[in-house]
Amino acid sequence: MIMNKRKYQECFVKTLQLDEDANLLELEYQGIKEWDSVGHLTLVTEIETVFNIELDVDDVIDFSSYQVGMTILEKYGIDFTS
Amino acid sequence: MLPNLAEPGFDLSKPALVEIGGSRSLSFREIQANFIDAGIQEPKVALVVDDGSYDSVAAYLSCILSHTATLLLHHGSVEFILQTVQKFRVARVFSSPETLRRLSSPLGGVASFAFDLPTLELTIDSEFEGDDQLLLGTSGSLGSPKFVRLKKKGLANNAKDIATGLGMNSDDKTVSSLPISYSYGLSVLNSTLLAGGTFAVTDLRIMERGFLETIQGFGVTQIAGVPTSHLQLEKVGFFDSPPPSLKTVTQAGGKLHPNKIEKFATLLEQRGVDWQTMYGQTEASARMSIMPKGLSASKANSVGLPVNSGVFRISPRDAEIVFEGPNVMMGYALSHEDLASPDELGGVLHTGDTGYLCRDGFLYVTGRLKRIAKISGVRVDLDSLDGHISSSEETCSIERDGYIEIFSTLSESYVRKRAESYGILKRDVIVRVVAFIPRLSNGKIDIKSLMSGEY
Repeated sequence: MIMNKRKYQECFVKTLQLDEDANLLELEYQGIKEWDSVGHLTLVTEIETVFNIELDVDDVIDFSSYQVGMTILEKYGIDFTS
Repeated sequence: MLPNLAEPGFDLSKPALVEIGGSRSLSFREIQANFIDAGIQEPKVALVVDDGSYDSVAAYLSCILSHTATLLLHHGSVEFILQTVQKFRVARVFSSPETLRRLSSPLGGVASFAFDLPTLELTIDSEFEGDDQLLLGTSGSLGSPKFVRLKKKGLANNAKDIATGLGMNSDDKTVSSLPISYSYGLSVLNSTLLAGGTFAVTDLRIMERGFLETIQGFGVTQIAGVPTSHLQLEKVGFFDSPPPSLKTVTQAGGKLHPNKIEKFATLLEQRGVDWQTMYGQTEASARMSIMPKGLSASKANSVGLPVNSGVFRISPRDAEIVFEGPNVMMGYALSHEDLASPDELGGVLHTGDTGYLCRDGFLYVTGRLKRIAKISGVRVDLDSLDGHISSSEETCSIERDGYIEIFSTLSESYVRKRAESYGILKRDVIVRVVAFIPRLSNGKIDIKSLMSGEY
């Protein structure tokens, strides 16, 4: 479970090129320069690859923050509880 | 930039510009009355800051229909706007009240309204006789302000060629899927108006909730996108179920993988929608070539045929694509003085791209001669970037596989910081720390060895 959280974090750090001290829990779409529409596509694609899932169009669009993203992934059976 | 409004049967009450999600609109009659016969005193040089709003588009229209020399700039930092105003001796700035307020403290001037749009009026002495030019920024907010000097006539000519090439008419409805301060985005607006159609401004972006519903509700007939827009449209299921009103999808602003073009073009074709690839540069007002309808899937590697008024030739020396047409710019402008310069190109543009022409006239783009990278639609002058990072002894940037690769003898964290302060996004940069920058016997940087890492 804790593994999923790390994988999830890694997707953000990698695709949005976050600094080590970036505040993950407060990340929001359009909140930082790197998380624009181009970054969004890269991020979502990375998450789909890492977790081997395919997100519905609605979920791609609703994926508006780090926290909301976790709620969305839970629908796909990905467990973040530790 | 308008169709013949006096033509019998032309419906002047038809909306030319509408604001999606808002209540404002302008009919062709209102444009004529407000902007052409308004009798407002025109400044010599005006600046329109494009922040994607309805106001930006209306401000642009008011300027393009007058004789004011007009700078159109994408909204970046206030410092950059300020620099532009000063360097070009701008007498009227159109922008949001917030930006105008921030500009007024260093600049002075009077907050006012022109054409019902918020402006900052500056008292500027200028000898320059405003002629019919539009100046488009070349590189967003990177480096120092540099504009392409376009003839308004050439711009209109190109818009007409585009409308013809895409088969547009007064039933066409387009949306602001690209910024108007970007030549391709601007050409969508201009060609729509010239065809007598309707252009809608929306602040929704492709991957935002409501975008697809909104453009469908508007009855969009044409969508324009750069490669990343189309990959986003793919992700939100656009190509599987395009809006029923859609007729044409265009793509330009970089190379989209031929497999994707084939896929999208084929999917759209099944719904009776045309995919048309185009090729252009800001230096040519907007577009130089258009793929004729119905051929995109079978000629996915080509960018089509020259626009009606244009001609391509390939330089026998270095395979550079050379374009000739009325839409070619007059030159660049770095400051107010350059606005008075004559036409420096005489209608012939050396594109800096390399390519070849097929016997049937179709153009294929193969590479680039100049040290200009194009990353996510933004042009980056690599020499200027190198100079910003350090001296050329220490740093050399190249473009490879959609990234800017920076070779440097300095530390990675320093190079990254400098690249970021130049305005380049972190994700677009790869830094390679090297012991030294290899050189050829003539003193030039040995790019080949640098790229292969073997030296």
